[in-house]
Amino acid sequence: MSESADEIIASVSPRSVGPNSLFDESVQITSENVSQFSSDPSDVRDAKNALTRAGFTVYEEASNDQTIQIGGSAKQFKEFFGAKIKKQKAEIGPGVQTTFMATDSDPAESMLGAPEEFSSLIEGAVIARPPTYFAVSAIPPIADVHASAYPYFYAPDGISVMLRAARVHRLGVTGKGIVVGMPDTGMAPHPFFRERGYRVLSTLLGPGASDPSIDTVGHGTGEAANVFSCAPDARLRPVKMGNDAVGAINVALNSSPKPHILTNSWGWDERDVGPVIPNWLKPLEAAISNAVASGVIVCFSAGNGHFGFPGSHPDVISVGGVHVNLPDLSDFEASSYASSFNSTWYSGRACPDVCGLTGKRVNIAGSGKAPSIMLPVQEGAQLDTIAPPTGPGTDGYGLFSGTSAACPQIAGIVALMKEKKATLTPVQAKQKLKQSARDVTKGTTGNGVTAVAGPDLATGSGLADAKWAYLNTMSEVATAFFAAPKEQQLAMVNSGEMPEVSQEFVQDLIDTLRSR
Amino acid sequence: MNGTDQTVVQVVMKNADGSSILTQEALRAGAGDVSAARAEEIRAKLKALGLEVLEGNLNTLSVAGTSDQLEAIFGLTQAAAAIGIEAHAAHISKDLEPFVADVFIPQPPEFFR
Repeated sequence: MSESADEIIASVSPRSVGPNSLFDESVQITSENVSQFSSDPSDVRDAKNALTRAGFTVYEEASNDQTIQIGGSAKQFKEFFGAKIKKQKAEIGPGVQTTFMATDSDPAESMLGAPEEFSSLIEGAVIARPPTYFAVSAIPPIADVHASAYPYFYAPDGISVMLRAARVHRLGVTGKGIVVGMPDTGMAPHPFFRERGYRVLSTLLGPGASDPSIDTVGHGTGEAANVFSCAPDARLRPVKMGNDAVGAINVALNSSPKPHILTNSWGWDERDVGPVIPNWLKPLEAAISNAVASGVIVCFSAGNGHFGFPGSHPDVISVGGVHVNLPDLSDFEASSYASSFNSTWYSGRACPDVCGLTGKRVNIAGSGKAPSIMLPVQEGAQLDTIAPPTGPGTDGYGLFSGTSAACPQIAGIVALMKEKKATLTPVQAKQKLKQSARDVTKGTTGNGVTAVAGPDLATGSGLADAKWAYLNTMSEVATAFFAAPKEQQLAMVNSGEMPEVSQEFVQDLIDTLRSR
Repeated sequence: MNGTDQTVVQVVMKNADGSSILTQEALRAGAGDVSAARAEEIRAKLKALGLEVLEGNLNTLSVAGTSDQLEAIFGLTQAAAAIGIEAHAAHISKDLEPFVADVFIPQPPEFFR
């Protein structure tokens, strides 16, 4: 360790036992030939003595068979090596600068030669320059498509385009003023969110949870990207869950500002728990019922082959999954990874109601995966290393989906609907999502249910369509507009409550009608 | 397991007439709720026993206590929760019995990735 900030560190190479100098640019040093660049122990000893006598500090523990690490002042390096040292700056990470003393990086300047009396003993020296620390990027990597997988979506663009939220965004409707609560595994401070200006409120802790900004699973951080893909101006309230799901939901509902929407990508399998809802899940059933009764729109994943509860609760929007055979955006099918089922606890309750994007099931690394979306995760989190890989090592991104991803997408679409119709109720939100969804006519779900024309058990009403859902919502605003007196009409237009509709928007509407 | 480790449990509150969310045949919003005043009274009773009330609504409370406390007050055992068996109160003290319908150690959900 340097004794002072002004100390300059260098790597000195005593003469190599092999025919080439360690600094010979024409020779690559590999594990196969590195021993040729080692030095005779007597040469190492003599070099160290010479350097010590010249006033340098020899760092024994930092040295190896090839180089001796030394520290010294600019004056010492100038006197011994003739080095021209100058103060320099470097950016070693995003927005992180450091200053250091070194030679110019030009090879003619950076290669230091020993004084003549030591020139046969020391073949050269170079002064250390600080490295760049490869922090997680706001831009996801370009990952090879695994041989067993399929082309994937990027958040936010791929999701917003496929779910047609991008069309709604072009009208200036982006989820402004809407708060989405998300009980999950935590929310890591990832540049993906910061660099896009997404509004993430402080993460709250559910009972029994700790370290709100640490998400070692990566699930919460990744699913948050799905919310913003559809509602880029919504405010997200993450809640890191402990074991107590009810407590986490209560934390979300008791927070300020109170969420308008809750998105939940978790649950239990009814079949694993028992033939009827057990007493220990009654608190959760009650909490969800009360949330919906208070006007909060509650979305739950249906599961990945599970009979997911609370996704089966009658009052929630139960979200299933649809796979898109990219690059054809019109070629989609029920995801073989997603759930569809008739609840064993709630008679007559079919799940899902509507679907978001979920990759179909493929076997990679010995288990089923659905690598259809590139999502940000905490660097080193479990989902940072989920197969298939997104690149070498941990890069802060993972390829995964499941109905875990589909649910926050739907929550984002609901945020768009709620922005313009503040009185939108949970029942209306579900109804309008279902009325406006795109029919899915093929594919078989993780529970073996095959999609057919029209609403079905496999995908409910089908793949959500944000634009149509928004139009459906706006139809009531339009009705109110046309029924209002002129002064109120003017006020609605001036306030943006009744938006202007562009010709392009209308043309797209016509095109969509013709395609259905 | 260390008897001083904190565990979070769900306490189901009871109305004066004995009703709670556990007595409802079909659970709907508001069914089984206690009044705000009663909820506060129950919170105070639990705190007086040394338990920490973390969160709640009008029918259940998230309460933290050591396994020793939970065993003493409610007869809950960590072992039951550890092996996944539904763990709920084996007994409720006479003082608490008019206010608490049952106590559960919640099992964590699965994240659908």
